[in-house]
Amino acid sequence: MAVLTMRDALNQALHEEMERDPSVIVMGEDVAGGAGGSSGNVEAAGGIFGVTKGLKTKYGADRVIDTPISESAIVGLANGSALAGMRPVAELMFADFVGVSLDQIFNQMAKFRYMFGGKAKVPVVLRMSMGAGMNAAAQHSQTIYPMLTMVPGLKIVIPSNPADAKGMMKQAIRDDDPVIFFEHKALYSRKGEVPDGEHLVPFGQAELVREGSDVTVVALARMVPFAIKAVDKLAEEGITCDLIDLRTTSPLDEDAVLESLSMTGRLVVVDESNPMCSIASEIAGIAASKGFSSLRAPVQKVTAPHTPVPFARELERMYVPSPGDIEAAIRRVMEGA
Amino acid sequence: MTEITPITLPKWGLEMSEGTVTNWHLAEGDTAEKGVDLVDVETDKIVNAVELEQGGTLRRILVPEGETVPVGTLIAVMADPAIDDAAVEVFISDFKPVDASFDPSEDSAPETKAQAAPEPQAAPEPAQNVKATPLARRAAEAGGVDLAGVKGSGRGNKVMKDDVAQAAAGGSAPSPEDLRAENAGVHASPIARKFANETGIALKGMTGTGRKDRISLQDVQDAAIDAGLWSRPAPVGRGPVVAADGPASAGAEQPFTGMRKSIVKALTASKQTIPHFYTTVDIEMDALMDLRRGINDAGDEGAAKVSVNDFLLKACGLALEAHPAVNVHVTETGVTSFDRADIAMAVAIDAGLITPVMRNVANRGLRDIAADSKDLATRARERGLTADDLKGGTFTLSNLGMFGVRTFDAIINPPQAAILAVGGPRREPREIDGEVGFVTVISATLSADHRAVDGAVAAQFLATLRTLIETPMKLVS
Amino acid sequence: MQQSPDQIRRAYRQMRLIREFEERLHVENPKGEIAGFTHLYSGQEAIAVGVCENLRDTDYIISTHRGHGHCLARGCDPKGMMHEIYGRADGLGKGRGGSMHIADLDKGMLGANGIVGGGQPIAVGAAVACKARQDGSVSVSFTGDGASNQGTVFEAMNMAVVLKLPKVFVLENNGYSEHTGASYGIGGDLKTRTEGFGIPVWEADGFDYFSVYDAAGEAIEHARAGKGPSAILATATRYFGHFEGDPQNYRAKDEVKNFRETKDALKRIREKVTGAGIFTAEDLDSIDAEVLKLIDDSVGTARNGPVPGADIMMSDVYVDY
Repeated sequence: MAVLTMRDALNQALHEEMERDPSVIVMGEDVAGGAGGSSGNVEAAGGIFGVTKGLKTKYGADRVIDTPISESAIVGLANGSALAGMRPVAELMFADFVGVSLDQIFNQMAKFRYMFGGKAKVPVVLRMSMGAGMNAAAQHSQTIYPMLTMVPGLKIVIPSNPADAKGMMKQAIRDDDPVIFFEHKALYSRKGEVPDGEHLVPFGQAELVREGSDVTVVALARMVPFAIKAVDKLAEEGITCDLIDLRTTSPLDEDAVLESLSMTGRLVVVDESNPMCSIASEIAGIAASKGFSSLRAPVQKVTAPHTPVPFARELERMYVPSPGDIEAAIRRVMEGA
Repeated sequence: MTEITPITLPKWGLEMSEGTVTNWHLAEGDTAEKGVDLVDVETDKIVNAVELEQGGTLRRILVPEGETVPVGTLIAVMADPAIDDAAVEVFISDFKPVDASFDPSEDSAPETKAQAAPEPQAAPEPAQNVKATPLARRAAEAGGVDLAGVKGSGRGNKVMKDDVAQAAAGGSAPSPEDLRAENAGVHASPIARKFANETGIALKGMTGTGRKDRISLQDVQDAAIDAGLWSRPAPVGRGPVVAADGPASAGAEQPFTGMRKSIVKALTASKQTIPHFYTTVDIEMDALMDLRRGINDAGDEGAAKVSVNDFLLKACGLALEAHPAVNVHVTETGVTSFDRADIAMAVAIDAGLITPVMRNVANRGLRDIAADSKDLATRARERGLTADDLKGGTFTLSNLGMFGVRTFDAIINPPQAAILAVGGPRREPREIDGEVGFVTVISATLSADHRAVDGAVAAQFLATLRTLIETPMKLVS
Repeated sequence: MQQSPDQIRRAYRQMRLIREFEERLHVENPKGEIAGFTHLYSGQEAIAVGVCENLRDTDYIISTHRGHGHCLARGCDPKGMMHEIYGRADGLGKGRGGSMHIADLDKGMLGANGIVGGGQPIAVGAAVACKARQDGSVSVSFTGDGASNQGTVFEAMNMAVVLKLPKVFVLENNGYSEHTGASYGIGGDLKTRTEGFGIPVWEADGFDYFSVYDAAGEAIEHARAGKGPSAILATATRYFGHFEGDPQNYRAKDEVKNFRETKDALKRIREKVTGAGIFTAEDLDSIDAEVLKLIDDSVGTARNGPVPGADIMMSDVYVDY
């Protein structure tokens, strides 16, 4: 076990998988950086968040491909190379840039296997940073995983800590289906113990982060550390919660949610995305349709408001759900409100 | 340079919220030109040098090498040597750093604050409380086996001799830690695993019926029912369904909430471990009622009305000061006395019972007590009490008079030594000056902890209380 | 093309304004008060000003993530911009957009844009409106060398040609697409590519205001005259990183220093106008002083500007909902 940042845990996973399997290739804008620059440093960036550093130096330009700013073509590269037998890990820098390349994602990679009679394997990993909290404003801060979770054929992975980030990245690269891998910007520097070497986290397996008996709290990505704060605080008062980190939204471990709900009867869902058609809505819907007899109080959704992500510090601090918001929601379900 | 210039930890790029000072290129007192490297700062991505934006003299270094501080922290001060040290110090102490953190605001934090009473520490189950056969007990003693950790296979889970033997041999019941570790590796849903750990069920070898053959909560619950370790609670009802005849249908069991749980725990422990005894006294109330009417009629329009309970609080306070042996905390090891009476008043609220504490009751005026008790009760009902409101009572007053109760016995609120239970007023005939007349009477029952309070002390306390109430002028003086 | 002294004075002031605005932000940004991304335009002033000096009030421009220069050149209020960059309630975007999303529709400024290549199709749409109005107005998009590789730009070019729109593509090559050299990322060359769509290209020295002004004058006149889209290709450099805080490991150590010493657009225009005897150095110094004071004031008021509240966050998502 080493203590690593999530950035370095992801980097380690990429190094290990490229070492293990020569069909793994990496592509995207500035994944190395510096090509054509005047300094002659051909690995000047290593990804703008430093996740792909050292790869080009070690594995060369054929396997670590700096691309022009052409998001549609980047995802196309991944799709085509995957159909032709490679295991591409493509980067879109910011999840918002899915907007530029959406056709390649939801009309193409997601549907190949189904449309092509089950013959196609599409082992693409599409990495992107997401999330508010750094004042990157409306076009660089969105948490768009609900949008892609609704597309059949995509697996959606959203780690909340360095160990999961490594284990799920390795799993994603070995997975034969397209995986959209969301990395929360504000978690890149989060540190945690990461198992050395082989470490795989299977998809569709939620993690029980805290154990309790009064309330089921479901969270993902940056909302997990926030929920931990709220849950630990309430535990001191005798209100204890099951805290479930979904880890993947497709496949979705709805059994874990329903089972916990059957024991607690109260549900709080925390989701940084906008409230409409969110993961919070989905979980609340599952509770209503499959866990109705367990519910003792209305489900509480803790989400961002239904607005774009605002720029100003003060506004973004209001926008992002906080540990205090989560605590308040837990108190509300306890009161049956 | 005629002014003082702050050097703050820079923000380099979107992600940076803190940085580590790694190397100061200049020392305090050094003078340098614009563009000179002042200090190296490291983030988890890069190391970079902070260059001077203008030339000058480095007067103070505020963050030593190796320290990590948030963006915007004052790390050094540049100033002309002509500026004296005192001015530099003032500048440093007045400096307000930028808050460049990425944390969301807690603005929408709940208005309601903590109010559940702190849970008393659960004492470990002593071995003599475990149900076990005499032979099992003897075997346990001989083998050094802790009976509390042995799962009983006898009737009512009574521990049998064979159970002890098996446990001594490292037998069937692994320790909770071992079980947890073993269960961790099994393909099971996280909730199934949690349930198994709690009920002591090994997951290994169990057949999973969940998605991808994962062991589900249902699987483990079924196993727990088979093993007699658990029974399934009835589902939550959706309104009453009453059959025309036949037995009453059971409503769904409502599990205890966090607050209720702590009440259950505290009261059970109190009733089971404290040797309670009860002493009841009847107290005539007419004089107090008259006095109360007079006070309230004389009060200003807006002044809080003084209730009977407020008089009782005051009377208890004075009686406690007169009998400090009742105004104590009791633990297993001894008794702590207090120099003033802080009285907890029991308030019934929707979710249960809460006991905010009124301080120094003996030495406060009735109107003050009235205002305070009203405030505490209101905040209790609105869940606005703070932890401080609930801490440190030395005695409890519980008044159910408003419900028409005549008399009742209350359970002591540990570590206090006594609680007074007051019933409602009633009219009773009495002989007064050779004739029969009617007086208003209440019954007050003191529950006392016999470990600290003896019968005579309890009786003396009640006698004082009775005198104070029946001749109430002392309560207003 | 002949320009009046007033026009040249204004152009010089605009360039100085952009320069000082950006240089000041470079100093203020590390202090932590400014949040988020800041992409600076220093070094490319001649391009924005050379183009915008040819525009009329009824024309449109659309910008990029590196938008401060285009906004200022188009006449956006420097104070309103500074307040926006500081996230203030009285900024041009009420603090909701920030540096990357400054816009002023009243000035025909359709916005800086956080999505590389996001603006060009929008500008083609504005050109449709210009054509429909038949008032001789044009729509101008600024496109960096990086964005020139986005499919959206090719689609926009083709669409503008097919519909014969009054659309001017300004291609600004500052040498770097984020952290990668333009020479690596661009296949073929920008001029031939653009001509391949049938769009005539006027080339200009992006460090020289007069060169850009003249090239843009002809290109814009072509579009105004109803002859279809045109393009300007101007090459310069950016003095700072892709964003503030970029360590610029991809650049040779002295690259920017050399550009500043030998090519600088502000030095160039000063030399030309004082050399030609249009203005004295003192005339220009007084403009510089006035601009510096304006920037000082803007930063001063922005630092203490009103903080936006929840009402601002929750409004303007819809006109009506």
